Amino acid sequence: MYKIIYFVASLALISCGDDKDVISQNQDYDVIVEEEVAQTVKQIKELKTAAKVLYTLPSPLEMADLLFQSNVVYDVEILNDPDGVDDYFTDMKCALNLGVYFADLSFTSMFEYPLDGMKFMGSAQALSSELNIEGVFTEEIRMKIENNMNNKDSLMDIIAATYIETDFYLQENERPIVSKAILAGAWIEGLYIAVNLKLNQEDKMPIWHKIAEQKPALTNLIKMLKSTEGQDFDMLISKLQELELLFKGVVLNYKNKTEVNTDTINKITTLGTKLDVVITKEVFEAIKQNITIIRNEITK
Amino acid sequence: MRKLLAFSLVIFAVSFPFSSNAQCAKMGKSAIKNLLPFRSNGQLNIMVLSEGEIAELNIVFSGGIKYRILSKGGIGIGDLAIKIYDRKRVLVYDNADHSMAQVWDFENKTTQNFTIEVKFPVGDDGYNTVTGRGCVAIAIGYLQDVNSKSNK
Repeated sequence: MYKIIYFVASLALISCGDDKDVISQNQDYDVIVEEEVAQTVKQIKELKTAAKVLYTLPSPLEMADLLFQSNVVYDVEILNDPDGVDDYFTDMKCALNLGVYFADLSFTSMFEYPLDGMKFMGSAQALSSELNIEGVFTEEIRMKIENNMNNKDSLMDIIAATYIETDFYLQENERPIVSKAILAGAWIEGLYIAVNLKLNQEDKMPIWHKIAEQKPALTNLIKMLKSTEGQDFDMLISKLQELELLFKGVVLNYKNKTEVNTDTINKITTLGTKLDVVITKEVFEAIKQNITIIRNEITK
Repeated sequence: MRKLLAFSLVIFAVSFPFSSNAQCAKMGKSAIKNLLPFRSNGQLNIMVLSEGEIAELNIVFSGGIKYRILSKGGIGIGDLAIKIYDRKRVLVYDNADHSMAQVWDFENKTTQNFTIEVKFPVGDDGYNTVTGRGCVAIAIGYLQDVNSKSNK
């Protein structure tokens, strides 16, 4: 393997015109160089192994669905202003708010308010254009949405496809900061919506539990942003770490080890454990206040 | 000269994954289609790995939702080894027990963090023999019952 790498590297040098030294190699020299190459490759491998940890977040549609299944009442007033796109100038601001609009679009569509959804689609389209994300919010997609306004399932599919197409484009064009900012914006808006929905007394606790269960996702989000090169996310990370401190007041008490049942015929494994969630009113209010500040800082 | 050679190797090795990101993204895109009827979670998890190298994907599975995990290696790469660990780092799934299946579904009852470990196969003939590296994609889909009720 190393011989092949050495050969390729040598070829690269030859092509640069530095051929005299390469040609004069002997057996001993080969061994020494191979050792050095092996050491270098080992160091590169170690560096790369250390970097091969990825984090994934629940999609905005998944978050919207969790709320939908919990009997909450739709409230467009808490969502971002669809006409606010003109206020976002930097790439970071545009990307975070594109995530916010994705979450708002998911929420309106999940609760079957397609006319509101069209407004957020327009906002997302405008920010996508600002960010030079091409070929995602096309006229064809817009037409598809218009034609499927009354077909919730198809609408959800179109939004999910648009969300992943955006990520494809950004990864293909090596723009991880914009990609991660969109994911962060969507997650923050999802949590913001969840804490700000008006709830009946009997619906309160199930929603609070869903909010509390976002604790590990917040940790993953912070780690994901920290893994990004540069200082673009430093300020956001600092704010999210304050939120993480408040989430320490949430207790996720797993009662037993994960039970695993596998159905090999249908290729499905069931994973289960008993979880007791403890979130007090004080902790909830502190989280609500903090995430509202973070989100409003993004959308202002 | 030796230092120059080692340096050139570093440049070669480090620059390779960046030049292949676009190819990896395309491969990941084709993998997503196989998630149906599950809906993609919207994130494309692609990595450039070397022979025998391991990558980890941290993900929170929400209680009451079904997930599909799909893995795909680049052209010529054999089946990827997939292991899943729960929050306590206890192994809950190993595709070696299921004929190295590259697609598997999970019905998750309680929200918790899982780690999906992906290992680039060792000793396969198919991967890029010059660089010993290749693309790996992990796609996550989830299934929801959107017509279960109306909150209007």
